[in-house]
Amino acid sequence: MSTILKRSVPLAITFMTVIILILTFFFNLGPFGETLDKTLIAFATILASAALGLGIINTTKTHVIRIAKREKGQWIYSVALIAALLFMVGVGLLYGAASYEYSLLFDATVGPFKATLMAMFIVWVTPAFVRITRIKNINSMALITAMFLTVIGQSPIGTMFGPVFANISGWLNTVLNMGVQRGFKITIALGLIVMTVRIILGKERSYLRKEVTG
Amino acid sequence: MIIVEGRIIDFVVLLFISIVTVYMMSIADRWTPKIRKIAGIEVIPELIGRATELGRPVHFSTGRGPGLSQTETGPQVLAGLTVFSHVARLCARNGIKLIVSVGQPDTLPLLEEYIKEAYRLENVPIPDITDTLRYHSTEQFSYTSAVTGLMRRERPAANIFIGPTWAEAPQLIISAAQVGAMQLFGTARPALLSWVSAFSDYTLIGEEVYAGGAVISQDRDILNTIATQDVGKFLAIAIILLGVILAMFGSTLIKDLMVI
Amino acid sequence: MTGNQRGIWDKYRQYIIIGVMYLFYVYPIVQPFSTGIAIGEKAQNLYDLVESLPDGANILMVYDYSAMAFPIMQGIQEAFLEHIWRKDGNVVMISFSPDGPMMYKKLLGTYVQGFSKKEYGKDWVFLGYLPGGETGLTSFMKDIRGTISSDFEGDPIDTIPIMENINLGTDFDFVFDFETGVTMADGFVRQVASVYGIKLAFAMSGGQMMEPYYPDLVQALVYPLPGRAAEYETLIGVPGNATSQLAIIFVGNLFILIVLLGGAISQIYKRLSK
Repeated sequence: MSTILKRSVPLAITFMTVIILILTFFFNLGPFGETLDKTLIAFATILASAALGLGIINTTKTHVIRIAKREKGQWIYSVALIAALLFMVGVGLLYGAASYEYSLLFDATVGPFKATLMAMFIVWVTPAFVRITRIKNINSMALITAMFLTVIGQSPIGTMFGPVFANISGWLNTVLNMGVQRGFKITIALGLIVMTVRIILGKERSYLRKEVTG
Repeated sequence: MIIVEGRIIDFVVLLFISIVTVYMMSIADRWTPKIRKIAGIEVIPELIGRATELGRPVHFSTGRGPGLSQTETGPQVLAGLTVFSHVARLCARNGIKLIVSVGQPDTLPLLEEYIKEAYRLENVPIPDITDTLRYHSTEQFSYTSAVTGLMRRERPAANIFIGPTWAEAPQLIISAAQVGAMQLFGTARPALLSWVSAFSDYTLIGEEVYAGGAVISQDRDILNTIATQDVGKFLAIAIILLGVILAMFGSTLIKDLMVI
Repeated sequence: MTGNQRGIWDKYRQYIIIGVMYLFYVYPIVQPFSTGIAIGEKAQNLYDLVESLPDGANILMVYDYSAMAFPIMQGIQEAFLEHIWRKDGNVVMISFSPDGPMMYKKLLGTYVQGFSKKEYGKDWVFLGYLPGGETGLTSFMKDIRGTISSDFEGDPIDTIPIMENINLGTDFDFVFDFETGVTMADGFVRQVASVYGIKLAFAMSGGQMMEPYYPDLVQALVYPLPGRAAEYETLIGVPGNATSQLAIIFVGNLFILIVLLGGAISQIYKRLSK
């Protein structure tokens, strides 16, 4: 297949898909439009599921290579990973994801593991948080004041002083914070629209392999 | 064919922005906007240079999670890939080791291609891909613990992260800082911007991520689309101001217009 | 402060901070205490919203969080189920997070008193994990049967009584998404509230990001958890898991406030003494 064809076909598919989805979203195209819309979105959902499988394949490939090369200090962990992966997948296939056995395995390993990592996150971040709470200039003073008022307003401590801190925290949230969030969302949405137009027109091709983008 | 009720104004806005984008791209040969210096992009050669001097690797990531398939994350990942091509070329040119942490399976083939292309263009032997590209996981703290461990072992001198990020961002930044890495962190997800700004040396905030990709590509068409975003912003500001003024006089015209 | 003492602080600062933090968090476990609960606007809003739903309403309840967030989510989810089942709500549960099915199973195990009074298939159903994020959600809302053919146990949807009259997203009266990290929240606003006008609520940690949509597109926004969850439990009259965590939230917030105040005071003292 020539390079031009390798480039043109994906770009054409992208163009058609985006245009169809835009048209079906904004216009009443009847049952045909609805079917087309649902089909394309179903394709996307299927692709997302396939991406999960791709992740597993790549993980396995990476770690099997590491084991084969006996990478110093690493390969033994790769053995543990592959063994855990195969065991978990095996239990899931044998007993089903809805089974007691699978839940038991999850609750005994994945759940505590994630909770531990979350706790580690707090341990990592807390000293860094302490470091940033130093007043160096007017900006940092404003930051710390806002942090203080927000925390006290949204915590049970604030209720000890009546509604004053809750009201201040609420104002910071619903006026200052909301304004900033709205600004971000508008600018990010604009960036998204512009990028979509670039993708439709074929100017944004970073999702294609380099050999076909030229 | 009639427009679905409640989406008319959405369609009008989309059409307007699209027309302005196409117009801007069509005049690219005559006019290009002057883009202010984006510190996060300007600093990339400095980061790579520092890594070269110290003889330590460069770490790059486009984040983890849904990747290209999601509305919010896809464009950020695409922008990250554009920056990555630039970083990969600089690393190839300077002969410095590049390590890429991959948390999105659909970006793996693309990253591999970008690496091969970069090293080919610099006439440098292509490095071992399995050593360069390290797929961790899409799972938040699995990815985080893998990257944290990687930081400890490889001790990169530069850490560049351009893409969607969630709660793992502070830990990633701190773990890189602890090994002495200088960092550029860019994300268009507002949720973590405060953390990123507080902890990272350099940041790309919000649409700077998209603009950064355009600046690096130096493609005039794409650079002109940044001006489109500014047109959109002016339009939004005008509508907001008009709405506020009218609301002060008790009119809900703009509010009603927005839901047509 | 002598030079030696400054050296110890600089050398062991990280450990001292973590150690003090642990002492704060251990205290309410060793010496439990209760704190007052003042009902805030956000919790009241959620309560009023659920109260306004008709009896027998169709609810979509979404598990969008991972295993580490279960302790935060447990309280609000149990309280919500308690509340909605008082009104005989039909709860269709789904997950867009891979951990969702396991979180559902955990909730089955912890909220026995609620689930045991209801019948699976009639009062609630769990449709499992649907990949694709916002794309999956879009597909689900457009055509439920076209997207999912069976529930988590593998039974065809057509054989499940609760799903008899639920074919499209518009058949839901209310969507309640439980998540951390603002992963799917914007997607729900785009694909549920904006497109179908369905009442939407979030229980999440990063709720500040969704403030621009509140209260027009998002009618209830409950954060931070579990503080607001405890308020909601108080409103429905069933203090539960979230209320029991208030003491820990209290000391955690107290620690943060002391750090903030301590940092500020020490900086001001340094400047004044120069």
